[in-house]
Amino acid sequence: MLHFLKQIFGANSVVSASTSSQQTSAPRCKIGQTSHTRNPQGYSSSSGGVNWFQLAAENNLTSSDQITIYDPNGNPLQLGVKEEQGSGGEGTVYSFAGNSNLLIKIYKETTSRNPQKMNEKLERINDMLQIQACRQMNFLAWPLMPVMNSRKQVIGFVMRKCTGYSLRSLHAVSQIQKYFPSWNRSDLNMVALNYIKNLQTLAAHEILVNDFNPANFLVDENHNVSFIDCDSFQIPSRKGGVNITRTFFGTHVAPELLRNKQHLERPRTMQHVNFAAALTVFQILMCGLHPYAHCGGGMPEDNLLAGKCPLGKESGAELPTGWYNLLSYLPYSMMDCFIRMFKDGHSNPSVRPLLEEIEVELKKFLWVMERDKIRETLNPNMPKNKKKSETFKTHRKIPCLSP
Amino acid sequence: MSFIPNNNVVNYYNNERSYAMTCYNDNKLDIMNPAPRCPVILLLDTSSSMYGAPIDELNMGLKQFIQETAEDEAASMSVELEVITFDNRATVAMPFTPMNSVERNTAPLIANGMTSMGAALELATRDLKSRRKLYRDNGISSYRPWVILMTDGGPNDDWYSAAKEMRALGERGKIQYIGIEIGTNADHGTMCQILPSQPGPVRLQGLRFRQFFRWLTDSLRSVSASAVSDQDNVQLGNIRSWADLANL
Repeated sequence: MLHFLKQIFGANSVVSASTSSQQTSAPRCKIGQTSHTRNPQGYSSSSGGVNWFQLAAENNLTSSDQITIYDPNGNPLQLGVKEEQGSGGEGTVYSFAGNSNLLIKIYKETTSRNPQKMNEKLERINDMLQIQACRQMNFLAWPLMPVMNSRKQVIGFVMRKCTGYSLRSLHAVSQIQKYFPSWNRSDLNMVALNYIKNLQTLAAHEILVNDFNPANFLVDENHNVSFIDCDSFQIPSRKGGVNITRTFFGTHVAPELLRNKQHLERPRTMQHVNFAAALTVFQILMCGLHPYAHCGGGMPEDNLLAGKCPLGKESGAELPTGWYNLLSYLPYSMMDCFIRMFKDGHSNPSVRPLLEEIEVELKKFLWVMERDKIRETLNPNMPKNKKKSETFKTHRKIPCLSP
Repeated sequence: MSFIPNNNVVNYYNNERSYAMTCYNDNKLDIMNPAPRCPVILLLDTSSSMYGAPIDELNMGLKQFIQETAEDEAASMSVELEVITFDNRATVAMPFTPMNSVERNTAPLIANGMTSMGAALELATRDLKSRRKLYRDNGISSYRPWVILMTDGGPNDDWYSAAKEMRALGERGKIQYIGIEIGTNADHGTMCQILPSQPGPVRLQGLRFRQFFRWLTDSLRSVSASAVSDQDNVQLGNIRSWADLANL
């Protein structure tokens, strides 16, 4: 295994020596691993507020100072600094003191003490390590090697480090201007296109993304999108069938999974992926607006469940204040695609557009923006002039754009 | 600056109103920020008994809170802060303002006068209601509001009815209601009536305002990074750095 890492990252990069870790703090928002928010042992309560006694109890958080870890050959590995935004519900992510291209995820004690959970994790890591193709995919923070404790029990894994800003950095024009000052809507479109292509690449290997939390995807200045929450993916199992996880993100999930949590026990399908992917693409193009957000609405998950989508005529819901101008510059066929996904496809998964169709719409939009520059602006001060842009309404004028 | 309906716009994507695009309205609501909002109200005692080290430490803690919360990616987009001070009267020192546009060098609070806590609670209840309505009307979702009441004494005015409404919100889990007692002269009995029984008041360890505000920043960072529906599962940090555990 070490040999494999050396091949990828250089002979001197995988170390077992005690290189001292530099306690430097990474720039905020430049993260290398996801931040899970589901924590079944959270201390906040909806019915009575915080519990001071519980909050005064000693925390059971893992500290890098107290952990000694080993590679599968028994060589000690040196943990670096904890990734500030990398702590998840089940694991803590550290830099690898010997190689800046790698990260180490260590499961928290609450997870590692649970034999059933750890067995599942072990199965999952082993299944993931078997998928050779994913090791070579640069956009994945794929596990490369398990790490053990002194009793030779697996307690985490080494993975590729992906860099960039989370998709949240594209939520709001002010955020985009902060992180990607020169970007316009063509750039957002290219991000969306790369995102869809990555999902397709994974799907070709029967790997489906489960957790569409925007914090699980990193975007860089070259429009590349990295997927960093790989251990929540649905993957083929060595024993046949698929290795599933129940992970999901409530605001980015197909409504049937949200409605009936028992469905989470079954393997996900491409219909689930198509829905969540379209939702993410919509948010990318609309600077973070959720397709089910509407005036008078409630929590995003409730809006999604209710299926009240303000897109299209006679929608019965009012678009959140201020967003119409930006929406109006989306091409007609793309709007149609979104409407079929979020309105028709809300209750009928079989009519949901495919990833390929979304890809075609994104390519068309890119083509249209090249010729109609006003559509590139992220701050339109007025809605699209319907007549002026009539030429772009018809598909016949757009060259054939096969996926 | 206000946003005005543009009636000449033909909206063929939906049949609803359209507005000329302006980021901020009179209520300092950034309508083009799609992040769910987390309204936070700080109710701060600025009566004369806070004079000297307590008010100085509070000012430093507040400044640090504003700076650190604004530096966090998620919290700066979600948290909207209102500061209400109470002495001879209750004053909205800063109306709800998005954290990313709060003035970093705000004028320090000055301690002087009585403790009009009832009036402050009434203001907070009113502003909270109208803020949440504003969110709903504009299609913006929100987290449970956080209300933090800090005092070193007890109310001098009629507090019961105002406190009752806020307390009820806390009891029903509609708000995260936190009461901090400063020093040993705080009226613990009255605070117990003002606040919901869970969590009830907690005493600050000495003048550890800055430690408290760091805990608050960390808590709001965690909440802002979570999905709205998942906020109940967010793990808050340990309070040992600032809470007087002997009096829990």
